[in-house]
Amino acid sequence: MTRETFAKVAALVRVTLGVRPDVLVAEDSHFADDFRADEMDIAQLVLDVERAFRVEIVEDIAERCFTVGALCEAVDQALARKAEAA
Amino acid sequence: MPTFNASRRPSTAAHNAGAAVLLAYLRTIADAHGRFVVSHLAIGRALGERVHTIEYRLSLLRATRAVVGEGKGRARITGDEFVAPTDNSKPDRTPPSRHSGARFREAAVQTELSWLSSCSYRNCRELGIEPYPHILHNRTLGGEAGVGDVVISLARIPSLERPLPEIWRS
Repeated sequence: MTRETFAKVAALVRVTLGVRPDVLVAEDSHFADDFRADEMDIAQLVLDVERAFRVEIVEDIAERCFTVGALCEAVDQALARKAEAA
Repeated sequence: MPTFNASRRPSTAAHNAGAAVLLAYLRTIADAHGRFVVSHLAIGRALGERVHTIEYRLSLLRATRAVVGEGKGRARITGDEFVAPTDNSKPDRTPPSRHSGARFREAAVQTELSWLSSCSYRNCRELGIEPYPHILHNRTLGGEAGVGDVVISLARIPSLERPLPEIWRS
């Protein structure tokens, strides 16, 4: 994943999931285990990420995004697909 | 940790307007019997609404038909192959595996599904809507339904359209 993708996704994770400033958001941070996010929180996060990056993440992939790193990878894949299509 | 914030709290007027839009959308994806399975992600994309608001509105819809995986495994929903619970037992939440081909049955299930209170979603509990039937999550129309998934009909329950819980009031 790119550093830019991670920084933007991490910022969205903080806002959407309400992660406190003193809590680290890392690549391997688990949405449910580390931030107590439920399935709907994650769905909202995916929507927020899609809007921020102007991409659409394939639903099957979105369902498997349990960590920040996985979501970043999904974003990068969506960006790559978008670039190919352009 | 996640917290509720003002952006998730619809006013009563916004709720009623949003519920009408939601119902209109759900009718577009329902089959000939008025049934559907849809993910919050898909609804959120279609309506541009926050998924927690959608969940609240979905919770106020009547479950005149419920579709629940019977026993273990996952069921692929095609046509009329809908699975209905045979009793009020809590659905098995064992890890999903491919369905082995057991017979599915269709049934019109009128509320009173006590196992629906087994929903573990934090906001449902916090909203106090847990006892009411509501759609479960992350399935798309024509896709796979997991054990415990529910397909609801499109009727609203006026008696449930009570004042919004305090935490949702702005």
